Amino acid sequence: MVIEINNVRLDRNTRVVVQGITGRMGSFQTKLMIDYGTNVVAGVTPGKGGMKIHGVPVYDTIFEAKEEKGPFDVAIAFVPPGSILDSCIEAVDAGVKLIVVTTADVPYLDAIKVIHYANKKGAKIVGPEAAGILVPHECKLGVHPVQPDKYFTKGPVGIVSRSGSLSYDTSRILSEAGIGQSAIVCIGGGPIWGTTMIDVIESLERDKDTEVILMLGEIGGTIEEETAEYIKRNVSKPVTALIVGRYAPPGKSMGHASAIIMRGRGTWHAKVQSLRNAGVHVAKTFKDLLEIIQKHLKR
Amino acid sequence: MRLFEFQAKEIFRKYNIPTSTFNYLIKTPEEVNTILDKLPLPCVLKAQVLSGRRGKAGGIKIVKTKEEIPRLVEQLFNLVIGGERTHAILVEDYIDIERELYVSIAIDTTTNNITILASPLGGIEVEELVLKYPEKLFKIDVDPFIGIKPYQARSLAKKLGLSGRLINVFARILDSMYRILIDYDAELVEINPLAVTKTGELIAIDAKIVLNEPAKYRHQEAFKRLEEEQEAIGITKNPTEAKLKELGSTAYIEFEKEGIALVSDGAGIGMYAYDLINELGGTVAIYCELGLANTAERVYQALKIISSNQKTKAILINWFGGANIMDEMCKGLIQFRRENTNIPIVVRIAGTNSDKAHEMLKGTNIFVTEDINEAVNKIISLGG
Repeated sequence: MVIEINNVRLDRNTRVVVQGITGRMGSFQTKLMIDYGTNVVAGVTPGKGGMKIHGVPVYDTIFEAKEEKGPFDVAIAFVPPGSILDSCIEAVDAGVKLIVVTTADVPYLDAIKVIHYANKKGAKIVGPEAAGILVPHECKLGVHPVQPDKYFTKGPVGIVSRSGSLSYDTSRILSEAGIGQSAIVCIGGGPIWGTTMIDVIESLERDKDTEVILMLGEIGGTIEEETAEYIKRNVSKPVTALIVGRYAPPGKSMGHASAIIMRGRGTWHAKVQSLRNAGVHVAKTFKDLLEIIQKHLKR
Repeated sequence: MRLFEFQAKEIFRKYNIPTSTFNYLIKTPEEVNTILDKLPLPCVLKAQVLSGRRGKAGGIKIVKTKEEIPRLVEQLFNLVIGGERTHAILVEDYIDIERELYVSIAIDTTTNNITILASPLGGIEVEELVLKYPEKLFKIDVDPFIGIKPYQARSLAKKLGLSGRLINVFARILDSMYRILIDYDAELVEINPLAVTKTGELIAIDAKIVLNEPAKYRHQEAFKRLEEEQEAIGITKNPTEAKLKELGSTAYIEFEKEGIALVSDGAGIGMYAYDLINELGGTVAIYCELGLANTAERVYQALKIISSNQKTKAILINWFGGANIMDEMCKGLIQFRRENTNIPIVVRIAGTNSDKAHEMLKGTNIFVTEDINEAVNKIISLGG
């Protein structure tokens, strides 16, 4: 059994439509996704219907694509911030249940509208500003680096991360030590998330391939604290966490809009305290992290 | 972008939210002399700062006689609130307040809703008071596709203890606040306090608006005007930061001491490296994140800007490309190196097409690794 998010199975058979496939980023990432084995069925760019990108047929609308190719499980959007509201609503209306939004700088009002709309219709947004989902040797539904293909290997560690880059680096460290990953899910820089850490951990808890859950968090906001509360009550698998931004100066944004300590809230210490209270092992460095995970796997 | 009170109130007036009838902005201590004769008495002098807790810090003065004005103006201009010196003074007529309400509309990022918060315990102690009396804080979630339902606004008015015609007045104010949030793409529109006056009116005594930066592209004129107003009263941008932001950089922090310029391409690895440098006793002078979809040209320009900052003594490149393509970005780095041979550079490059990037860097004298730990140790050993 492979991981499911919002009841969508994520493996090499998962049917994917790429929105904004003809753009620089969309086209480049589509090639990487296909090379990795992802089942990219169609692409959509309004006005570019009839083209082919890396062998994938392009349609003007997602409905036309659906008519010819059948329904899609996942949509991945490489469209500009101003088009996200439009492209996500189109995907939801076309019955797509999981939509990955890689675009950064989406206006907050649009982001909450999209999430509201998706939730009402039983769909789920991953992001915005999300690196997306990678299931090693199954599918790449995001911008994860798979060329060279050495950072991600198949194995027992399920990763949920706010940051894309930190999840790549952590996977590299694990893979070099011979420890593979069941899934790497990057939910986005925040502070607005269509899919939360809790949603992902719920999936990882159910996933048979995942033995250890690894949570990569950062300062700012309270998502780690909320997740800690959830873990305490609902998670049986061992959870390890790494929280970055320990030395961050208060009141300054460290790159993600949400990575900012405001009025003493969202500090590293507050997060680590609530995670420890929930029985989560907290690492400060990659070296610590590796040791903790190795210990969990030996048990 | 956080607006000053005088800017927020200008928007309030456009949307017919009642504010004081007299209002005048003094930009320098001398300027007050030119309007001394026009001032209504008593009046209120309000320090214009972007930091919160202004009232508690003594940033608001009530003036009864003309004679005390120059001294109080002088005092306010010398005041520092939350590390921020008074940029200007807003003069308003004094309002006799019966009681103070709190009301705000915000994009609540924890629930993904537009949320109205209101309390009859408004004023400078509101945060402490609603913690003590949580039952006095009322919350309404608004469906962004429907907007505020007027009956919700009227019910809320009742809960705040309003009656008679003030119920409808309050509902109209709330509707205006909501329209401001939507029209300007604000993250927050807040009135604290919203005063019930002795004469039975509702008046916004203070005003706070925070605009959503990602939505700037669809309000370019408004942002430009508001930024110019802020510049006119002395809000300055760090020159290095301003130039990097123009190139698409997503984070910039400049620290007191000189040392390492940490140039990352992702927030998570940026913070990890920042923690590690601090842990190992190194000094970060500049924290910079380049952001997504970087081209060789943008990298080259960014490195030129960063290296020309006096505090930069060494550069640590910290890239793990997913969406960013490493051989493309590396071209910019190599071009920069060709022109700047003196400054120590340590490079950690991994991710998309990084094997090509490592190959490209082989002919140079730059230290290159895939491992951040190794890179941080190296840059510290070079004196960072």
